[in-house]
Amino acid sequence: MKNIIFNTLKTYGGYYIYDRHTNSILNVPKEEYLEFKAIQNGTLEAENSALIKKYQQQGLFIPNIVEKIEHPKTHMLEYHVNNRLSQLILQVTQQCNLRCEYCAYSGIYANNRTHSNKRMDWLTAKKAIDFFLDRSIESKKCTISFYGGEPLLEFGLIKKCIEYAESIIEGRELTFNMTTNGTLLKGEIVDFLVKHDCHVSISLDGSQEEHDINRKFLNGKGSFDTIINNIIKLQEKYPDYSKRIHIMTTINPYMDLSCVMEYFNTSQIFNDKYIIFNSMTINNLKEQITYDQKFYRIRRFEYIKLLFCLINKLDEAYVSPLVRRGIGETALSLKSLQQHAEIGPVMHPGGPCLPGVKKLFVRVDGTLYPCEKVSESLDFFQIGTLDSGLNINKMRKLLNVGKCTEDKCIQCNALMHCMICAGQLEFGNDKEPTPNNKQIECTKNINNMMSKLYEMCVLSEFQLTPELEMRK
Amino acid sequence: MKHIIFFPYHPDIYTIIKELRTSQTFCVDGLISFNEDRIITNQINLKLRSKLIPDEDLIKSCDTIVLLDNYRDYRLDKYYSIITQANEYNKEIVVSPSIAKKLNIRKICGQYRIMNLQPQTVIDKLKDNKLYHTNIPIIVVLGQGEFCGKFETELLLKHVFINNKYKTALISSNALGAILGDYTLPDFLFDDNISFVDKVFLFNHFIFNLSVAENPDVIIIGIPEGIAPFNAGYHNHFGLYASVIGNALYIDAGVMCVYFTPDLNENALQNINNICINKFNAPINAISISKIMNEQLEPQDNSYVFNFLDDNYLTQYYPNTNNYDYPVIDLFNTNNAKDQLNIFLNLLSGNLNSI
Repeated sequence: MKNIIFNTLKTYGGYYIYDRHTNSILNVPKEEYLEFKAIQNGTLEAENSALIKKYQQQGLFIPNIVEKIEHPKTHMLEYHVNNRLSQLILQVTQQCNLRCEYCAYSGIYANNRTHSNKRMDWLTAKKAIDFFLDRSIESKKCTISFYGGEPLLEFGLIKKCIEYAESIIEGRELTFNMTTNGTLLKGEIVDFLVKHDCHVSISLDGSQEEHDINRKFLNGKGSFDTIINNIIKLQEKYPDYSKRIHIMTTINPYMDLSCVMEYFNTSQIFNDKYIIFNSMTINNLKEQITYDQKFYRIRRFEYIKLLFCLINKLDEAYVSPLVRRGIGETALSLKSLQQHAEIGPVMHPGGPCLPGVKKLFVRVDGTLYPCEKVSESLDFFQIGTLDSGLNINKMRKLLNVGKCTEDKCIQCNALMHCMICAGQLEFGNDKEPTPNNKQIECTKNINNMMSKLYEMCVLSEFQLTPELEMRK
Repeated sequence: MKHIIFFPYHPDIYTIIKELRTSQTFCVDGLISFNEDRIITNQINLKLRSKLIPDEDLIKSCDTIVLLDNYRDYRLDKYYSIITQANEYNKEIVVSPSIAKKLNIRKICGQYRIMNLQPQTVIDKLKDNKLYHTNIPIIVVLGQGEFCGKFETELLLKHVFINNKYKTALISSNALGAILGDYTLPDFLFDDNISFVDKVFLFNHFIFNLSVAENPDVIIIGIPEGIAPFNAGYHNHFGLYASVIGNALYIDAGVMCVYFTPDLNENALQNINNICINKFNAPINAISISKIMNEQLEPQDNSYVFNFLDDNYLTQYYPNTNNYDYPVIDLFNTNNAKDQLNIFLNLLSGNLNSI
């Protein structure tokens, strides 16, 4: 008999079994839990278990039917690449007027470029826009994003790109956006961005003290004052537009997180702004970073508030932006469990997006990548050039990152919840995903998944918000 | 002969251009579309005219501009701009019913007509609550939803019968049928103010009147939308139209159009057959596999997108329709399809002629 893939979970309030075949969590009596545990430990054979047979008659705990790890959209990828590109990201410059300590391009990350004077010229930008539009005939919406370095260093180019795109797009909904350090967001730049409704996210790490620890100009001076002055002026001149600005805060070990949170909670300037907390990426760091105990205390406290919100004991307004995305993530996980979707013979982890389709990142020189987060130094992530076009075979490889650990994935408990994509892997000296470098991320994913499932079990013992229910 | 141009690009354009190639009534002069569609528009126009000419010259030189559905939900500004130019050059404007609802055409003034064709016997008022029996064989073309190949299948079926000298009346599920001289579905079918029951009687009378007035050898009816919902976001009116027509008529035979799949599950085919018989009184004698795939882009999303597969993909993945016990129509190879659709000729020619 092929093995049945399941897991046992025990909380203070109950006993649960996770069935991978139907992606379901069952709440079971203690005796059944103990029998499953015995099967899991090997002290009882599954084929000798009347309990297993009982559940199998209802379609649960079916022996593993997965035969192959392949992304379901592998065959359709070419169609999507030729017709459904949805977001173009133009790296207009590799230069920045700040030198943030934790920046992805500061040299602290392996396999990543550093700041340089390279910039995109107009011909490349125009070619990229045409390339993108010619391959998005079936997309209802198009987004063009500007990236850097600091994109506003190339405002002239951005202006030309926006005007050009608006002149040639007649039917589709067209949106523009960028993430900026905010230091150049003033004067005619603001006027133009507002006129063309270009959505802006500003990087700001809290109060002056917390922000200026890391985010400094080339001369070492902090950038906080400049940014705040720009935001205040923008608010005064364009109050409606300023409400839609996002503030991006990078949590890093050099800041006092409680001060950052207090600043955003109390500062009038950010009353109407959407604050997004992102953690500093730890993968591929050349040197380990550690957060102090205070950081973890704050995070745990805020996380408990999130859990109270999920069981209707606390209003969402009191949940910190630090953890607020957990609400959506939990709802998605629950929705996935409630679908009880049966696993199929051909499966793949859900992490990879359609490379190039969801996002097409164009480097200053016209080289194409699946997004702005992958290493620009590794050939594995280069999916083509504006001149030679998109390389479907390379894109298929990116999409099918699970292939390199196929045997393990077929047996893996976390397969239905896995969100690994190639961009998350630490390649080290490898040039592409290998079983070894993927295994590190696999372990993290499995642990995360089990934590999540455990959490769902605990939450189900309370009164959940209407979306958050589980099969009993 | 009338010279027509179309706006904007729509996947049905290929079918309509192909059908009008031998038309004595219409000649397709070209296609105008949004800037974003320039590659595909140029490809089509080069095949039609061997050279590209500016949009304005196309409008000036045609007799009629046909406004097609806005299947991608694009902005409507260019529709108005085209209408304005058409009025300026005194061109006839024909509008698909679906886009007519979204455009504020009266605002632009000028002359236009809605793309439809009704028999002279069309009715708009219920005269009695009786179901009349039509002696003429009725074949229906049903589908899983929009863009599943119903239009193409209806036309192929029509040609099979016409080529074998059958007088055929086609009531197309697609408004473009009107350009080809086929009837389109009556307005009352889509009127939310008319009850389901009244629709059944009205449709029965509609077909009965047609059969008496024109005495065709066969009536083909395309049933719009799909026979069932996909999910909460895509309800297909819960098979309303199939239900109205199935209750209104005695259906002799049917074709079920399904979205592209590289491998048909024969159990699923049997299930579809059972649904159509039990819910809509429509026997399914053949399945037609579309060249269009429907796909859920994001698992957590309720919405679907349609992939209009090209020859390159279809050459690799279109299933071999000879591999099935069930009759499967090959829409990728229309010569094959016509041969396969001969089963309907055999079905009807086997009918006993009784009084």
